[in-house]
Amino acid sequence: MQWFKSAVDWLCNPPILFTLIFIVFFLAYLWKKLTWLWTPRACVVIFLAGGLFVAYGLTDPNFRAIVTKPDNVPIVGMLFLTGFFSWLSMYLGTRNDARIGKNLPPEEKLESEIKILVWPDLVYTEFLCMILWSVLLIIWSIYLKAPIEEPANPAKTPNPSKAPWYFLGLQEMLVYYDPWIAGVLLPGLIIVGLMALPYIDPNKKGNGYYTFAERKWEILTFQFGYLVLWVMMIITGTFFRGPNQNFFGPFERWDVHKVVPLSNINLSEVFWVKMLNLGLPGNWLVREGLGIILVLAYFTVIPMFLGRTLFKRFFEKMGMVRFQILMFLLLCMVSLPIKMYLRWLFNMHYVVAIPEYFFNI
Amino acid sequence: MPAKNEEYARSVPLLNMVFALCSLGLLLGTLWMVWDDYYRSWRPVQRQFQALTAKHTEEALRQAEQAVNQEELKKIQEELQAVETRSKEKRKQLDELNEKRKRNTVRVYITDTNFKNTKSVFDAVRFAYEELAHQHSPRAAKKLEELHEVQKKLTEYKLANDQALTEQAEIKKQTEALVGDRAGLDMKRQDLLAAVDRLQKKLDAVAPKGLVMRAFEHVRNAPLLDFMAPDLKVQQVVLDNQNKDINFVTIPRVDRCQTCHLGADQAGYENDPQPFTTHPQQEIYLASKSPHPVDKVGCTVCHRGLDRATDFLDAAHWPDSPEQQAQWVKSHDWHPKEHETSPMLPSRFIESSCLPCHQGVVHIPDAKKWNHGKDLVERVGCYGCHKMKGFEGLRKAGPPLTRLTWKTDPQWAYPWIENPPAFRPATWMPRFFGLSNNSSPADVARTQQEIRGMVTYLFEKTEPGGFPKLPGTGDPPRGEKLVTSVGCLGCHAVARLEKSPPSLRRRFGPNLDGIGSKAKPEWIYAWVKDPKAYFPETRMPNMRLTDREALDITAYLETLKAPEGWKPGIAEADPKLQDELVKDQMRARMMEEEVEAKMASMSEHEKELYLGQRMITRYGCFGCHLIQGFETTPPIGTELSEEGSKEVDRLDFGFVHIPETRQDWITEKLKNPRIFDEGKVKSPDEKLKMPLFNLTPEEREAVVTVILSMVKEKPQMASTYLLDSRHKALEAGRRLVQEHNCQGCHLLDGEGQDIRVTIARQLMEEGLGEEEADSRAVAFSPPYITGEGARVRSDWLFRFLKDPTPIRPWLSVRMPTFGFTDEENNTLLKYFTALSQSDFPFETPPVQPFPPAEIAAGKKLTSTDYFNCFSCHQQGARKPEGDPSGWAPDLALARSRLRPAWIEDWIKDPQKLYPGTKMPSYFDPGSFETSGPDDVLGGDENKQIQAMRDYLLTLGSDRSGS
Repeated sequence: MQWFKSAVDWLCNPPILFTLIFIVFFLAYLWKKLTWLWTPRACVVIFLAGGLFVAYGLTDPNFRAIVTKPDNVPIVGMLFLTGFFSWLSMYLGTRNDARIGKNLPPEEKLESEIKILVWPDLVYTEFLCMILWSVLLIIWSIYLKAPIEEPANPAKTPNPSKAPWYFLGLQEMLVYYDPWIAGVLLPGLIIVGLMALPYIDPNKKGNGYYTFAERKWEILTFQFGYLVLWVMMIITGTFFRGPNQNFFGPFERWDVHKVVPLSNINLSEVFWVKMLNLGLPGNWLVREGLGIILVLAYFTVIPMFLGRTLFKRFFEKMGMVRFQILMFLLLCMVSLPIKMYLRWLFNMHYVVAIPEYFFNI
Repeated sequence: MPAKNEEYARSVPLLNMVFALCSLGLLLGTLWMVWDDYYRSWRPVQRQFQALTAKHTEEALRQAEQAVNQEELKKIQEELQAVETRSKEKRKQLDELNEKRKRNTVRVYITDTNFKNTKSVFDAVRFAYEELAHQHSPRAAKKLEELHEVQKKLTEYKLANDQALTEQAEIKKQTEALVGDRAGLDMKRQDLLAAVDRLQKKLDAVAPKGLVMRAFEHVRNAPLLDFMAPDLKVQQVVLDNQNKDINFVTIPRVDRCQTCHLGADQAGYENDPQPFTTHPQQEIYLASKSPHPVDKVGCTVCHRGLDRATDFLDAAHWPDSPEQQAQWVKSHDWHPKEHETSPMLPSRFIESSCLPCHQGVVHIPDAKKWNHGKDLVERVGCYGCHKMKGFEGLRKAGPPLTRLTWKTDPQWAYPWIENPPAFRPATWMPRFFGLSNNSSPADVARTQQEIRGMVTYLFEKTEPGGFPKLPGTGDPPRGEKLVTSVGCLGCHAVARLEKSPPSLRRRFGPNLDGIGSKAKPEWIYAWVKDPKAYFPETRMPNMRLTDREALDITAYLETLKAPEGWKPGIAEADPKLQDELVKDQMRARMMEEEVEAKMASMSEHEKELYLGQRMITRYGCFGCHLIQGFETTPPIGTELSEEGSKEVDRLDFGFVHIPETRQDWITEKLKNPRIFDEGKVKSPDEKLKMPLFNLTPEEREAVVTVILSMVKEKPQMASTYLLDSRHKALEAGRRLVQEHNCQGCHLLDGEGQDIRVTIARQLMEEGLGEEEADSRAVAFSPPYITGEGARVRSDWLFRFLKDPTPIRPWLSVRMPTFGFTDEENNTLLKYFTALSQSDFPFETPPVQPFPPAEIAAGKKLTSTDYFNCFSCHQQGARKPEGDPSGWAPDLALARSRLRPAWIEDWIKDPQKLYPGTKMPSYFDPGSFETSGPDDVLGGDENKQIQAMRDYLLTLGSDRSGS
């Protein structure tokens, strides 16, 4: 089975993994032939396969060491939960879509007509859930002790030094962006963007019931940001980042001495030195001119272009301001995978690098 | 409540059922949690210990019961029985007395209470009066009256109480007279059975009998109730003076080891298994009167590990051997504790914990392995390449190479550098070449050129000159006799002469094997005549050899040739390869064009010199040898001053699979210094370069112990071993003793006289049996000098150390001239007097002139009629008769040499001062008062000894022996 482990390790190399995930994500949601994915049978098969994979993986000491670490156990659980609820939403959505296709009301409409009592139907059930959760947490706390480590030593930080699991997505962004972007701007935009959603998206369809066909574009965008970027980055940060923040496959030993070449270059160096064979200009504005133009173009030309072509329908429906805000948020989100690929494929450090003013993009 | 006819989404009875099950689950989960929290691994261990203690106590109880004097016990019991009978007989009178006693008891109580109450009133009134009087209050007079009244009452009550007490005593007396002293008898009985009672109580405590007591045991140890008075509890010592640095704050150590190691500080568990075994050497460790009492020193200061842990794995135990590890894996599921920065030291390295507190000493008392390791580090010269705290300022370990042409030639030096043990298997010079990372054909070709370069450099950078031709030829057999008898073998070994491996002190100087193939005869001659002429810093002393003797020794040493198969010679030059090597070296330091230009400007010889210089820099030869051009070059190795605290993940284990601990890494490094290069791709300059030292596994372990002892943590002053002025004098002296290897010849400070084995060997060759040779060797060996400070006068010792003169002319072994400075001499004098706790430097001499009668008596006692001192002792030029092994020192020297007080002590009991001495004990210390002759000085032994002392002090002249 060594070939299998090697294959998995190879697949888990982020450029490959993310490309695969992108493809699988869009195919799963958009390719008609894959709608069987949203059936209970497919769910069982996928979960069985996932469970088998984890079970098999646990026989490998390296895989086991990472997955059974008390800090990581909840993340493994979370993976399955995320997968299940993503599937559930699509399962219910497609069922409703079929009903809507036949001009029937969605299932939730039927449910909403049923009368249920607060006591005992609601409160009693909640109470039972509470008790069961308490039992589960007690047993969990007996089995998995708090992951306490050696006394913190400023002269010797743990390797790898990792944020709590829910921040690992943020930490992952720090690899590709300056702290002020990865740590302040992008998280801020996530919150602001989520707050702005109701104003950007006035589509009333899908209110109170599951659907996919009626909100294809919205769901796709959100799930892309959530599943592919946020959750995947947590997975990457948790399971694939080892000592010295190097990438490791799940079956690979976390060797502290692993060496990977790190020779990142800025766009300005590529442009001025590699392409034009000139030295770097002394004036930062001249030096970073190309980068600045590209970034500005990214945020101005692309919306204009898309508003006239692909997103013409949206542009017309939403109006200039809303469309611009949407495009800005969307482009910010997409800038993350773009930057990741630039780094992985071209060792691109910064598109705009102005260390004189601590401003890098 | 919903109306009856309403429908529920779920069946309520079913929900109730689920609720019941969930609640049960919650209850069980909670109980499980409490149990999990309560049931710690140390609880069953403490139960086991109780059982063990009960077993031991029962045993002791049985013995104590047997030891009780049954006869006396019987007697007491009979008497008690008699008391009992009498009280039955005289029941009536006794009842009367009892009645009286009861009434009296009430009276005593009342009168006593009255007195005490009134006393407190009296005190209060007195205070009030004093206050009023001080304020000149008009009420003072009235208060004074009140005071007097109360005082009167007080006196009355006192009287009444006294009367009651008198009556009490009277009743007691009457009762005793009537039936007997029951209380006294009871007391006697208790005294007799004290040991038994004590053990019985102990047994009851550790192994309660009866259902109720046993149930109580469980209740008081039950969860939640065990906060009151459990007998199973965590045992800890809080060590306020032993802080522990947890990076942001220091906290006192709290050692809980004794929660499981319950027998550690108690005698009687020596033969029980761990964790109950008594700690070895209680007189040094743990016992309250030892230097390391457990409540001050604790456990983890020495053993390390997590102080607060109460679980085997948490405490970070570390196995001492693979067998122990296998056993622990079986018994405790042992594995290295994750995240533990300071796991326990395996017990074989435990002595590395001594140093942090025992700083600044030459040797640590009782730390044999550490001391051995330290001697080895000094001998091998680790500090030459590695900076090591505590080893600063020591001389370079190897000889200087600044006059190499005077001593030897390149033909010898080349193969020596290439492989020292091939020439001299027991050499201290480590091996740099032909090791695991430089043995490939390409490596060998390269290192050959490197060694060529070094040899060229060393023989070029040498002082011009040499020694003159020998003044004659010597006789090797006579030379051998000299080498084996004058004392050379105290510091040097010759494989040909050794029967067993020589001790470390006898490897102090270089092993002499092959010296004839190495050194020029002119050099040997000049060297043995006067070592300091060639190497002023040498520790080799001057043996005051005559020209003849030096020639003989030279002739003998010349016969010590290299082992068979060893050939002198230098590898062929390979100019192409050499150019490559030189260029490689230059490229690291200059631009390619400069390299080319410089290469073109250099001759072959210059290139060779350049390469040599670079290689000496790389291999760090100057760490041990003085080499021209490298006088101030800093050492090349990693500093080891805090190696014992180095983070384990800063050690490169490479692809070598050994346990990831400091001790295993260092051990492996000493075993094969290049091992961590295994499987790595490195350029020649990147390769590891530490040489391989010729150490046995035991020696390696000792060296590792020393390296592990060099830690960052500094114990607080309160817990360090502080040197007072006497100990400072001792340590300064010990440093000199160590540096000059005095103990190679002398027994000093309880150690040494390693030369004796060679003298015994010599005697055996002359035909003596092994045992006899061993005992005779004492007489022919250099003397024990532990008590030298009490024995000899400071002025004499000062002169003697500067210029030794024979005290025991029958010895062929010589006290060499070390050429001590005045400062060193005084240090030694202070050391000797501190060692024997005598006064430094002078003491009051006995008043002279002595009464003639006393001198006459002294003379009489030393004569053949009495003690016949001169049958063994030399007196000036008068030699005693008989075999020289029976001779004793010249008594004519006593006056200038010996301290008078010592002479007395010596005559009184020589065995006490010098166990095993041949000097007869004329006065039996067991029956001193009657041991002397009765017809001299009235048979007063003290006077006789004093007379002999005074007589001896009149012998010889003031100048003799000086």
